[in-house]
Amino acid sequence: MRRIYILALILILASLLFFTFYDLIQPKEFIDDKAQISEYYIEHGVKETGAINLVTAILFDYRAFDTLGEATVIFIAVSAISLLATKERVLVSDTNFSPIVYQGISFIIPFLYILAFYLIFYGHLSPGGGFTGGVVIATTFVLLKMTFGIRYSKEEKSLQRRSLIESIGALGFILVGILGIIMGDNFLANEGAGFHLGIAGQLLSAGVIPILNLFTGVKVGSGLAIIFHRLVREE
Amino acid sequence: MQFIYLVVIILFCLGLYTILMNTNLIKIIIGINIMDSSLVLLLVALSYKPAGTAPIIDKQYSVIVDPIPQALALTAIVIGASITALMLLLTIKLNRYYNTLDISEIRRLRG
Amino acid sequence: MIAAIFLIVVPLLAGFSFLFIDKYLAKFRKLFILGTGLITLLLSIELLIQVIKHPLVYNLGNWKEGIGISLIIDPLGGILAVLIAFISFIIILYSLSYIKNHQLKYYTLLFLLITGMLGMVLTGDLFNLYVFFEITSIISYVLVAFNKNDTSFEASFKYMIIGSISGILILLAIILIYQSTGTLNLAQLVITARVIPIQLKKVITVLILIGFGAKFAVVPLHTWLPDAHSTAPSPISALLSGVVIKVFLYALLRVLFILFKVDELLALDFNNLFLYSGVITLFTGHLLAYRQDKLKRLLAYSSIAQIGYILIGIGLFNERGLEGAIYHVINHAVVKGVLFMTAGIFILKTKKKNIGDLKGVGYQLPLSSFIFTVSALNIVGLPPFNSFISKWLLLHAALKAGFIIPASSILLGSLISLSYYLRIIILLYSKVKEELTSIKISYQLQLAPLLLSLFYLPLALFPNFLLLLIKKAPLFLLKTINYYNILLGGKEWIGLFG
Repeated sequence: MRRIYILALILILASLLFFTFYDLIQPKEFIDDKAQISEYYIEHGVKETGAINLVTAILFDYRAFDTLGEATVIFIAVSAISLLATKERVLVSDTNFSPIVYQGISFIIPFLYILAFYLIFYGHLSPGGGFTGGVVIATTFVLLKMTFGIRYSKEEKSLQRRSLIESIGALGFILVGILGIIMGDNFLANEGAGFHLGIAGQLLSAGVIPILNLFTGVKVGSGLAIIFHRLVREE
Repeated sequence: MQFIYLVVIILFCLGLYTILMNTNLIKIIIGINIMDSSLVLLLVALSYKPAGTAPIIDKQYSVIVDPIPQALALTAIVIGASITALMLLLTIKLNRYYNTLDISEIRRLRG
Repeated sequence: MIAAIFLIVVPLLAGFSFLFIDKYLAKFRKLFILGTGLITLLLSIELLIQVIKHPLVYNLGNWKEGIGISLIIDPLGGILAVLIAFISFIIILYSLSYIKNHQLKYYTLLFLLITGMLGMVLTGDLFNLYVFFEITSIISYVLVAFNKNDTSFEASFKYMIIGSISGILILLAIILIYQSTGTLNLAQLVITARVIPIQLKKVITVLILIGFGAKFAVVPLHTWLPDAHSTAPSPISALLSGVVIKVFLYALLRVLFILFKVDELLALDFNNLFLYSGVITLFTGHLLAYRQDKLKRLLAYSSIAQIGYILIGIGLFNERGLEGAIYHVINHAVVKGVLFMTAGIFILKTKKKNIGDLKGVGYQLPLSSFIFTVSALNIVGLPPFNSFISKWLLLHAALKAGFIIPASSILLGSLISLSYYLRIIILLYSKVKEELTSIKISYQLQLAPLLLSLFYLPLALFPNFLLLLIKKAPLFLLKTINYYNILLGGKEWIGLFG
C-alpha cells in the first residue's frame, strides 16, 4: 500500500519535472529582459580581477562571500565530528602489505604534495583552485594512514596541531577581508584594497586571489584529514 | 528534448525513491547523495552553450560557457559532502546504541 | 554602514578564533564570550536605528550594484536581527551556567549559528541565502545531538534526513530561477521575475513551499520537531523554537513575495493556502500537546501551534495581518525562550522529565516556578500580558478581512492551550505528603530567564513603540517595488518618504 503511494508520488514528480524542463529550454520571447550577468563577467572579468580563470574569479572575487560561507560549512563539519566522535583508545594496528606498496607510496607522496600546491597556486590560471588542492592534501594524509597503520600515541598531538592549522586557514580568510575594510573600502575588496593586480596570465597576478586560494586549500586539507581520522577510529 | 535532462529527472526521482523506500540507513544516505549529484549535473548541463569552450581566457574565444553555475556547483558539492560525512558519523553512533541499521526499528521516541 | 558587515563578521571571527582563545587565553574565556554577545547586540541595535530611517545597502567587495553580492537591509530585516542578537545574548548568559562539558565546541557552534541566522536575515542574494540556510541547518542538526544519548542521535538523524531533502528542493528551485531569469540578486529579481513562464513559476513555488515549510514545521512536515526540540539541551531548544524557525519563515516570505506580486498570489488562492494550513497546524499542535507527558515535548508541540497563528496572520496578505504576525513572532520568541529555560532548570535540578513528576516542585524552586507560571499564562493569551496583544491584533485582522473560521480557531486554540498549561501549573503547586527540601540553585542560572521575563511588561504596556517600528516592515514585503528601489535607485517609493 505504501509502495503504491510512493510510486504514484514519484510519477507525479517526474512528469512535473518533465514539463518544467520542456518549458525551460524552449526559446523564449522575453529574452532581452533577462539580466545578463554572465555576459558581464565574461567581458570584464579579466580586466577587473586579473585572473584568467573566470570560475575562480567568480568564486574568490565577485562572490567571495559565498566561498566564506562554504569554508564555514567545512569548519562546522569538522567541529561537529570532533564533538560527537568518542576519544577512545584504538589499539596500535599494523598493516601487512608487501614492500612494493610501502616503497611505492613513499615515492609518490612528495609528488602528490607538489600537485596539490600546483593546483592551489595556479588556481587563477588553469582549472583548480583552493578546494581541489585541499582535497589532494587530504588524500595524501589518508593514503599515509591507510598504508602505514594507525598509531595512537602520536595521534592526539597531531590532531590538535591540525585543528590549529585549520583555524589559521579560516582566520586568514576573514583577516584578508577585513584588510579591505581597513584600507577604506568594503569587505573582501580586491583592487580597492590596494592589492596589485599584475599582468593577467602570470603567476603573481590577480591581487588577493592566490592568497585566498592558499588559505582555503590549507583549511580544506586539514579539515578533511581531521574528519578521516575521527571517523576511522570509531568502532 | 535533450537527453541529459531526461537523465537528470531519472536520477532525481531515483534518489527520492531510494530515500522513501529503503529502510537501511546507508541506503538512505546514498539516496541523498544521488539527489545532490543530479542537481550538480543539472547545473553543469544548463550552463552549456553549443560550441563553447571552458571559461579560461588565455586566447580570444568566440563562445564561452556560462561560468556562474560552475561556481554554484562547487559550493553545492562541498555542502553535500559535509552533510554526508555528518550522517555517516550518526549512522555509526546509532548502530552502537540500537544494534541495527534499520530505520523502522529506531523508534524510541514516541508520541 | 559598517555595522551591517560587522554584524556578520564579529560572531564569525569569534567562532573561528575560539580555539585559540581557549588554548592561550583561557582565563578570559567568559569575558570573551559575553563580550562578543554584547557587541553583536549593540551592533544590531545601531543597525536598526539606521535602518528605520532609510534602508541600507552594503556591496561586498565594492562591486557595482547587481554584479557582486550585496547586503540589503530593510526594517523587517533590522527588527529580526535585533531579535536574533537579543535572544542569543540571553541564551549565551544561560549557557554559561548550564552547559558543563564540551564547552569549547559548544560555543564555537553557537557563535556560528548566530552568524548563520544573521546572514540569512541580512543578505540580498539568493544563493547566499542558500549558503547561510545550510549553515544554520547543519549547526542545528549537530546541536540537537549534543547530549550524546540514544534518543538525541535518533532525533538528530531524522531531522537531518528531512532537512537535507528540503535543502535539495530549495537548491533545485534556485537553479530553475537562475536559468530562467539570469540573475541571483533579490532586488533585480523583483523586475526580472516576470519573464518566468507561469507553469515554471508554479513548480518553483511548490518547491520552495515544501522546502522552507519542512524547516518551520507546517503540518504534514512537522514530525521532526517534537523529537528534535525535546532531546536537545535546553538553551538550544529555546534558541531553536524561538528564533531559528522564524528565520526560515522570513526566508520563505522574502522569496515568495519577490517572485510574485500580491494580486497574482490572490488570483492563485495562496491566501487560502496559508490560512487553512495555519488553522490545521494550530489544531494539530494544540491537540497533540494536550496528550503529552514529557514537559519539553509539550512545549515543542506548543511551538508548532504558535507557528499556526503566525501563518494565519500572514495569509491575510494585508498590512494588519502582517503586523500581527511579526508582533507574534517577537512575543513568541521571548516567551518560549523563558519557558524552555525554566523547564531546563526543572530538569537539571530535579532530574525528572515527566510532567507527573513535577508535583510540588513549586515549593522547591520558588522563583523558577513563578516565572514558569507567569510565562504559561502569557502564552495562552491572557489580558495583561504581551501575547494577548498580538493575538488580539491577529483576531482583529482576521475578522476585518471576513475570515470567520481562522478567527474562531484562534480563540478555540487559546482555550485548549489554557487547559494543558493549567494542568502543569496546578501540578507544580499541589501539596505533597512528604516534606520537601528547598533545592539549592545558583543565582546565575536563574538570571537569564528573569531578565528575559522582565520584558513582558514593557512589551505589554507600551505596544505602540514596537508597532511604530513594525509598521514599516510590511511595505517592503507587499509592495516589492520598494525593495527594488533600495538597491537599484529609482524614486517611486510607495507609501514611504512622501
